[in-house]
Amino acid sequence: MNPASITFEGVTVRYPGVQRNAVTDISLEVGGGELVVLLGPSGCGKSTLLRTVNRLVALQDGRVLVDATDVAQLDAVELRRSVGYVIQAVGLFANMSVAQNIGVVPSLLRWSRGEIDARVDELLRLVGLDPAAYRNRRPSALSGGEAQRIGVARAIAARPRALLMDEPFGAVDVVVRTALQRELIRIVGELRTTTIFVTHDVDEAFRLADRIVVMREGRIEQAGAPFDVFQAPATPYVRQLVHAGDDVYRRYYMRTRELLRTT
Amino acid sequence: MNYLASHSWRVAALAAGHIELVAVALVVALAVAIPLGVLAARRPRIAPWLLGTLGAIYTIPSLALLAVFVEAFGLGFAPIFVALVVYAQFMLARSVAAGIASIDRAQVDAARGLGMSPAQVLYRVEFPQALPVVIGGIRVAAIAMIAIATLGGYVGGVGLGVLIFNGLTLHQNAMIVAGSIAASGLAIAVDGLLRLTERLFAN
Repeated sequence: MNPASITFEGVTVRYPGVQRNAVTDISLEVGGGELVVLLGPSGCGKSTLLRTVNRLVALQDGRVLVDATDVAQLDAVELRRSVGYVIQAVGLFANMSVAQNIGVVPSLLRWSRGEIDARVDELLRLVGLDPAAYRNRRPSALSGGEAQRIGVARAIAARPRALLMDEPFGAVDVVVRTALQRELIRIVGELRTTTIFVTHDVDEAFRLADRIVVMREGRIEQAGAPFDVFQAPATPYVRQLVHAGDDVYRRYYMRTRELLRTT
Repeated sequence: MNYLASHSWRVAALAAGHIELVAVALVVALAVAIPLGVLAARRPRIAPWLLGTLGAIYTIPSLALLAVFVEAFGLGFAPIFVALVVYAQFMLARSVAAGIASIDRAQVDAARGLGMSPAQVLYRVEFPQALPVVIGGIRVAAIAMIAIATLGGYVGGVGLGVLIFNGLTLHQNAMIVAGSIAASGLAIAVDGLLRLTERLFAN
């Protein structure tokens, strides 16, 4: 399927019984095949904004368009089947094998048995797990890193038009996280799936993003290429955020990445 | 013991009636309790009211509850059948609600986010994982129902209670003992069978 573009137009969300908006008047365009990272502290509205795309969250105001179609016009269940979704807690179904988990959306879409089996093996290989060893395992017999690989495989199984990832690597240790990030770059690079990735980890954002959107208190502070956000922070908050921690490393990393891109 | 041996066919026939009464009542009770349990799991606000009401009914002595239904339906199969269905609601609905509530929310979030309809979330993710808890509830309910169903001998002439109540009337201790032993044996057997099933589904 062609990668979809995703457009937010004046999106405002307020949860029932809460005074403050979770997200206020956000407009943003995510191009087809782009990997956009929503970066910000917890409670800044990044997950909420993500969940408006597959209608897990209802809008107070504004529109969300997938390929110029207002998602409010689509059947929510069909929409969700066409958009991959990965969450931090993974949420593998404990009553199903690894293969059944990966095949869940294809089976909802009534693919044939043979198609599903072939796709499951293909995806296990794609996320770096041996199909013969993992196909019939139970989720309870997986490590955190393995579970999240399966989570990613499950999300992309039915070749979604877009991929939504909500802090997917937040619960695994640093070594595994780095490996998963590297693989995500490879996988998304291969698939060219439009991806929105939510994180509070600045390094992760710079490692993955085509474009970084820094959020704070339900609004966008700055949106731009990682290099630009790093070189020219739009607000004191962004400056503080992107220059915190291992600044030297990030400086070096950004330079290298920018050189690689321009050559 | 003598009575059991000499009237084994009669005891077997009454036991069959007893099992039939409990089994049919259990199926009907489940058909009511499953939607109630799902409702309680979905609506945390009304869950305490719903389960509280069922719990209150559960605390009514079974003989008193039965008297109400005899008043309503007359003697026969109906009052004991309805009493069993009503009585079992608390244990069954509570186990369905508890089984569903025990499932980790991330699975439900993922299920919805991947595009399962509410019914599919229920049938594909929630029910299969709630099953061991629900079978536990069925086991407890079934044992209680086997005990209460002996009152069917008093109001409807069905089940092993017939032996017990006839024995009381006729001062035939052997009959009373036979009825009691058969009912107890039935309860123990069903308990064992359902414990085994429970273990089979727990993984």
